[in-house]
Amino acid sequence: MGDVMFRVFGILALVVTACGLAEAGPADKLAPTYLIEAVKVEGNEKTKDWVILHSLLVGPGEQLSVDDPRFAISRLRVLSLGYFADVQLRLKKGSSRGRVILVVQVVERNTIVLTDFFFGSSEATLIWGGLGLAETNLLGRGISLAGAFVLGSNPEVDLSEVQQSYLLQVGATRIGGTSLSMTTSIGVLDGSDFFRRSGPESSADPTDFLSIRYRRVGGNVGMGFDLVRMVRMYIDYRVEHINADIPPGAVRRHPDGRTEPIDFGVKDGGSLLSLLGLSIEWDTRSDPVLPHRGTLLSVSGDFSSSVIGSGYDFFKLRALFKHYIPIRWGHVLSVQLMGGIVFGEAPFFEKFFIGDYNDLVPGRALRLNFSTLPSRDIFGTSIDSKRYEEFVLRTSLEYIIPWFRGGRFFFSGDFFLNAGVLMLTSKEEWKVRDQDLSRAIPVDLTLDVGLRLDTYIGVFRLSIGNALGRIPF
Amino acid sequence: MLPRALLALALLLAASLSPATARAEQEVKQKRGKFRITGDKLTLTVGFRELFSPSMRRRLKSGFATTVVMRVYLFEADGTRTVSFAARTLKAVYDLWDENYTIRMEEPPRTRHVKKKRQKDVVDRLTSLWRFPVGDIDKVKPNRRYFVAVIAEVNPISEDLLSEVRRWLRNPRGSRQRMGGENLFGSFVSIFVNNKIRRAERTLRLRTQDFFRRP
Repeated sequence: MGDVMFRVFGILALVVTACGLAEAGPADKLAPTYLIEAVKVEGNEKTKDWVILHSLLVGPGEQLSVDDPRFAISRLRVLSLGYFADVQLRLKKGSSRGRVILVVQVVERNTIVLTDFFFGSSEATLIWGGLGLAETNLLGRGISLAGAFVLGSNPEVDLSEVQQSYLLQVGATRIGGTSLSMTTSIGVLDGSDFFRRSGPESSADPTDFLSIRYRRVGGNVGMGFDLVRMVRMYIDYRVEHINADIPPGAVRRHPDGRTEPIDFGVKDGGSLLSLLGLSIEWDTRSDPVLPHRGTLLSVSGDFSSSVIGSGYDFFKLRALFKHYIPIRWGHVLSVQLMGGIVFGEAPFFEKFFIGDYNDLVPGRALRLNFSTLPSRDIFGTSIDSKRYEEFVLRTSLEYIIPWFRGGRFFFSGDFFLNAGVLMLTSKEEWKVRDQDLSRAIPVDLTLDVGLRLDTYIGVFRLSIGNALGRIPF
Repeated sequence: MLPRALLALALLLAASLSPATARAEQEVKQKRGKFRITGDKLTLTVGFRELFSPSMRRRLKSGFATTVVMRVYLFEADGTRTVSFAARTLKAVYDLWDENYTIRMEEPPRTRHVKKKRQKDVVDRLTSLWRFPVGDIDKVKPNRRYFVAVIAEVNPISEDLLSEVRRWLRNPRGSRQRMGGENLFGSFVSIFVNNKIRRAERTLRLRTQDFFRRP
């Protein structure tokens, strides 16, 4: 079905492309029509022929005009596989007049790419770092093999151990020339996350925290396919074995002398997480990295229940909306809204973490948190007490100033300023309010200024928020 | 301290390795054109062979159509107002059996076809304007200075298709969980091909010398 969809898209694109390729005139006068006798691939030493042939929208036996847009689209489809530095099409004389051989000439490139680079330091962890590498065309079969790891020094938090996380992922894209892609991954994580046991909420002092050691071992199987043009669906199943060492009798001592047991949000000892995820993405953006117009809307739901063998019963719903509007001088304004809610009892790492939503707080690296830094609490609310919570809402405006397009190493670059507010809270606080309204709604400012670069080796984001999130201050 | 130093180094690298190709493509070249009055039209003759790289010349023989779109603007020299606009679309195709080129020239409302044997002649046609009618002469006021700007593109593709292709680079993943991200150096697999996928294979912007019409 996906194949049919892709061909339907090809025909749609054919119409769309017409404006770029100028109107077709009398075909007999300019554009000869040939019968494609065969398709030959040249220049591929590593990549299998079929990987390339599956991406073409034309094939043997078809009678086509030489300015048929499907040729140009086919070339772009082969190029967008990412395995080639250059792709050119040409026609050779066939066995008789009116018959041709289509030659796809490719220039292979190195397909090992940097997918991640982790590096940072915080009050709690002196240094952490890691790397992600991917071979995107394993054995020339269009299969990607990716691996990543993160290691941190021993945190200066009680009961903590060295944190490490490893992930291995294998994927195949556009299977059989369709829009179907499949991915499977396995991950091993040995972490120590930090929970406040004393001190004011604004303190990031590691001695005010204690840690629980937890290990996660599991895997994920997922697939993605186009529902219709611009709309893609993802279905995932993930299973993990979790082993957590909960310190017995751990309590939180408030500055006013009150004490309460710490809720670690994970079962002591061994437990199983079994999770089914579904996501729908509508993406009309002009570019996935540096968009200048269009909309991205993504809605996803994660379902974990004893029905599918999980030790945790919860449902997590997330939505993301980004809209890009071109304004004067070539600048772009973007409205961004994201939110999420968790129903039921999810393990702490499945809840919404402050660092993943506030640009001024370190985010997680390969699912590990290395920092005790609370939210900055610019507005003086209770957000500095929030770390892993069940409800998140973030709205922001981004102003983008394009810098350049089309270099050899640096493909494009944009300056950006992103400012917004976020709210992160728990369901309990939502139900009961024991403080005045101004403090009861935990909101904070999120701010980031910097430069996004789309380069030969990957996408770089050099920003103040990024730097602040990676150094103690 | 180390992260700061690395950040500074990366910024410095970004600044020093400036995108030369991008600048070259956005540069406006100065060209000396020849202006004439032919009937009631102002015409321009100018050549710009640099539009075609050696590999593009070779590809003229690929059997596929090569399209060149030229947009010609007449400006007042002391302002940014467009006095007139004209366009020409050329399409050249090599016939594998007849071993000659057919060029179609569209200048609305008319379309012409010419046949050429030599590649050099085809390149000349695709990279020049010969007594091209820029606009009506009565729009050019005596003793005022004007210039002509030309934007020429080789094999342009539509914005919609360009966006679609860029999405192919990102979307084919099979899971919501993917390696990389938009973290410090997070990258998208296959993003490097962006450089090969542009609005046009080549774009040339040029500006003629100023000229004026005698009373």
